[in-house]
Amino acid sequence: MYTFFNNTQPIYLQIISRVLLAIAKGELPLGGKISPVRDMAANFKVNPNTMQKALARLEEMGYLYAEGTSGRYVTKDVALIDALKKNLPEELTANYISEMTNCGIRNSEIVKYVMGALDADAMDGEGV
Amino acid sequence: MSILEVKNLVKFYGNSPALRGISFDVPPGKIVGVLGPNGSGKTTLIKIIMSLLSGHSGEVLIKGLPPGTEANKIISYLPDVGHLPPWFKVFEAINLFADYYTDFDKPRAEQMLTSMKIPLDKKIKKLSRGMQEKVQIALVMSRRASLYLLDEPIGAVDPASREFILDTILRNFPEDASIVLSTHIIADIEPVLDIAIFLKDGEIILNDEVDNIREEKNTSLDSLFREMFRNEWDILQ
Amino acid sequence: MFLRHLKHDLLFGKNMFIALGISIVIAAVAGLIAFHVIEEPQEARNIINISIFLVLGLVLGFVAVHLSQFIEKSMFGDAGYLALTLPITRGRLLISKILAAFVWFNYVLLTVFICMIILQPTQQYDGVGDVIIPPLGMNLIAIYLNLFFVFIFSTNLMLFGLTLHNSVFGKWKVPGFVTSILCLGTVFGYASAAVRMINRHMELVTEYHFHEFLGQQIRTAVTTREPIMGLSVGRLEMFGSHLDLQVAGMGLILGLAAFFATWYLLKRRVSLQ
Repeated sequence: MYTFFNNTQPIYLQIISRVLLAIAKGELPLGGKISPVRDMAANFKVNPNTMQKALARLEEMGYLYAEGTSGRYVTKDVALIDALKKNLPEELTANYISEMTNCGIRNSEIVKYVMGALDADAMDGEGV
Repeated sequence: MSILEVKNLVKFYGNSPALRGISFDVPPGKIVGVLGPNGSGKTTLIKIIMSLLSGHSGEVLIKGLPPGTEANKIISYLPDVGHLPPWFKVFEAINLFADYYTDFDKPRAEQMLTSMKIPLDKKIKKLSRGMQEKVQIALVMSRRASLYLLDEPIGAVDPASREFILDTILRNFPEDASIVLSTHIIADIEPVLDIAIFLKDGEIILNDEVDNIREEKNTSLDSLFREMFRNEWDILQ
Repeated sequence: MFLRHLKHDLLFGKNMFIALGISIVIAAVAGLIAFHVIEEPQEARNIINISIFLVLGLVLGFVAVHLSQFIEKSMFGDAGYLALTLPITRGRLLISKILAAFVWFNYVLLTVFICMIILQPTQQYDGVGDVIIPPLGMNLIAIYLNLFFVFIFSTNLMLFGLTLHNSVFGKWKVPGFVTSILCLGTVFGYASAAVRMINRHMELVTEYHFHEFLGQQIRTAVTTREPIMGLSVGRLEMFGSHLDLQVAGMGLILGLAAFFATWYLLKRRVSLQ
């Protein structure tokens, strides 16, 4: 079964990364509505409390805000999102390296793979 | 108030001990996994909570109630066998639950079953084992209970159905209810757990929040489980 | 809630019961027609006389088998994981089963009664005690009472045997099985005692009245003997002798004892596999 998450690290942290990535890529638009916690938890196949923890943290960080009882939304703070986008390449790279490392691939090997892929011009730079 | 409190529970089958004095609490709103190989005492524990077994010492309280008729009103139980009368049709089983349980949400059950594409007028014995499991889980999760007690909910089904069952569980349990599920298949169920309780030979060898385990030990539950049960874990993964 | 439980218990095998009832009545009508049509009415009468008793025994036996099947499947099979975890007390669970069995018992007796009415015209009226099918009258109430005590005794004993066989763990399974066989045997013994009681009631009849109904002769009976026990209703003697009363009383007491024993087992000693 395909699991979204790596079970060796706290899942709520991984969810936060995932959501931030989605915001940076524009998959979650500015001011866009976030599904309720239960639905998100079921979609991601994680514990609702874990999902709640992640979303609450994202609220604290300012990337999400809650509007009364109608739910959570992505921030409309353009400056914040721009800063996030600037970090996107670093974030993606870090994710890629983390995944490769989990597969047991050494850093020197990782470099070889990247170079090889770039040479072959198969630009699928999203290693997740 | 804890949804489930177990204090010093001891159970012998004749001279052999099945539970050697276990204690734990389940707060509201949590998903607890009771994890252990076959024979570790998981099913014994669940049967005692459901008053299907007697002759134990120690205390078991479900929202302050001892196991019995009153407790059964607030527990939704999924055993690890097909417990619906096989001669019933699916819609008759729905009506049965509606008749017996005041907290049963009939429209929810019907909607779940139709979205699973299960024909309501088919006899249960004519359904495949996987479909029977789905019917059972739909009925069990359509109750608005305080405690959901699921004995090996994903044990008997194929991987695709496992996802479906986990999805059904996550989408349908009320916020202030708790789920206690027992399994020996850890990997699929890990991300869904709040608390993990490892049961070995009738004793609790670990009882902690899963995030704590991950942070402290930097390992997955599955790996930890295999390590702790190295000689005994059942190869049926 | 208990009533809904009872409803579910009653409905188990309803198709079978309906089919059974219809076939018995059809057989009775066939018997009546045969009696009128064939040349040797005496032959037909003999067959009918024997059959009615056989049928009574068979259908009561059918109820017993049906009940034990029902108990095994719904309470001690996999479905037991549902039945025994329902929000209903074990006592009510048990009583619901007994009530359902009682309803089936009465249904079956009613069906046989209808057949007896249908077959009344086939009986000879030239002497008392010459007739197997009981005449219509208050004596039927006495017969019903006797059968009722058989019901109390045998149903509870059978439930006890089944529960014992299924509930006690491990090494007690064999004695449990043996006990259930013994219970079954006792049931048959008691049932045959009841049949003797019924015969004795036939002997109590000392006076008959005749009526015309739809061109057929119907006979009703009345007893006029002095009651032995002082246990009579109007001019009807409830029990033919001291022995009968003892047998009935013992049936009632043993039946109640078996009930409480079963209840205890269900509450305290159940052990589903």
